[in-house]
Amino acid sequence: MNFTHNNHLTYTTGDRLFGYREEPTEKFKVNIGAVDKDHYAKSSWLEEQYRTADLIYKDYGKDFVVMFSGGTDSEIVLHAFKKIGVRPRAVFIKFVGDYNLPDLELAIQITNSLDIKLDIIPFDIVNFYANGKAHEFAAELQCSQMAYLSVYHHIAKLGLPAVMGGEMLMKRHVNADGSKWFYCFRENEDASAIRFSKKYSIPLVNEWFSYTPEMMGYYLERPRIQELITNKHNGKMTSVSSKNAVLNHLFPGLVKKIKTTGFEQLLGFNGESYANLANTYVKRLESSLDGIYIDDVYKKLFGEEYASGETQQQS
Amino acid sequence: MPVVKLNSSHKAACRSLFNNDRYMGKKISETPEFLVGINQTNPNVNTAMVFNNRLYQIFCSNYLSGLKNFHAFGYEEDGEIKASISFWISTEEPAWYYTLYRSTGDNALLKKVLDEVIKYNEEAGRLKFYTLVHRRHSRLLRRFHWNKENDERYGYFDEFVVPGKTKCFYANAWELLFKRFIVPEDSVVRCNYLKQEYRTELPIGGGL
Repeated sequence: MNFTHNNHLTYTTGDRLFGYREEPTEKFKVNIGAVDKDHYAKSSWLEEQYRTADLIYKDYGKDFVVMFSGGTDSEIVLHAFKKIGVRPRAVFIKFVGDYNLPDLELAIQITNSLDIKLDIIPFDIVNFYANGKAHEFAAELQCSQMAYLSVYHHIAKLGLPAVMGGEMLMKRHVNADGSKWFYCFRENEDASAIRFSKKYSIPLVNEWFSYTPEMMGYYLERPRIQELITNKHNGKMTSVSSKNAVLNHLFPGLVKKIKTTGFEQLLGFNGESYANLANTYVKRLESSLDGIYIDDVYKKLFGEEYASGETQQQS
Repeated sequence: MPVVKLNSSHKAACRSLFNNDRYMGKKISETPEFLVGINQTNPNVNTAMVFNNRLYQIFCSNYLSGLKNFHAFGYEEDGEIKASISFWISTEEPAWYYTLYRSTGDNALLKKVLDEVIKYNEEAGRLKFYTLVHRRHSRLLRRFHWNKENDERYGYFDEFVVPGKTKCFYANAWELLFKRFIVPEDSVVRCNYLKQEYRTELPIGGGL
């Protein structure tokens, strides 16, 4: 199964590729592939969106779903498929209690404008936790994030190949020596999508925005991202608040929206469930970076010569 | 100085620390909780030795393999480690966990090792640590393992008791202090802290 193009993005736990944590001491490591420099010279971030849609469509065929949250990431996914002439089935998980009602309104607006069918599935996420099913799922997949578990739960029920958004998240790691930006791919959350996919034998793309090394490279070259990484703005700890501005620039015509997680009204629930579900599997007690430091990302994508600054100057 | 930070080159020198027939004050061969997974039907199997081998392997792979959070110090004499203390450094709070102590017989050496471990952690801003103590012996531990100065500088409080033959449900304590072993008798998780009057300079807990 391809989780990214030719599985260029990999992780190991201990030394096991796409593995489960067996010991608290095991290191979690993330790796990414290199760009094809010839291809990189003539493509673009936007072209990579369409190429990704095409690659996934060729891989999955016509029967697959896009797990649509109503957010910018999955909106771009739908646009990309539409652009290559594919109308995927979009699935929205509507929380009982109307916690994500504003997202649903956006999802309806977006799918209507794209002429894409939207399946709305009501789901009692609080009960999913209270009745113990989330605990079983968490233990099985080593994931304590309710948002992810609820998506996996529905993909398993649908039994169809699926695509999620999966932003290219950057975070700032701070310790006593200072801080460093890193490309973030988390053992608990992002990597669990691969574990789910393998365990249930259901193809799943969770890292759309890292699907090809080239797409990652173009994104990193964006001036706003460069500026974010280079200048240590006080209080800027992740790329989240810059992401929508970058994506709106790269993909004009997206629906304007207020940044939400769909969990604003469930923050206490989310925090409590996150901590409790994490007790169902082996805890990580040895420090590991949930990703790759940006300097190393450049080297992996563009080669060691990047360290000399040649590639940087080109951007 | 005979107290050294241990690494992979000390593996063989530490082997003799793991020949004890007791663990947590109980005779290993007579304690079913310590014999899970060990063949007890074969009279030729030395169950205490199997248990010690297992503990030694855990010690080497966790504390002598160059990890960031898992460390050990030992008292070295004639190429042998005569006493050692291993510990885990938390990344969630400025604290450490005293995970395993072993000696070849002279427990007084443990005082010297503990002095170095405390010094090492204090220099890095970690001013409290957790230990697991047998409930019945909980008052005696300091007398045997602590020197007078650190006994005075550090206060303690007992945080919770784990009844015998039960699994601790706090993840760090279960993984690090219990090492995922059910203990047959009541045990106590204790927090030792540097008293306020000795906290003259607080560690830095932030950066950007």
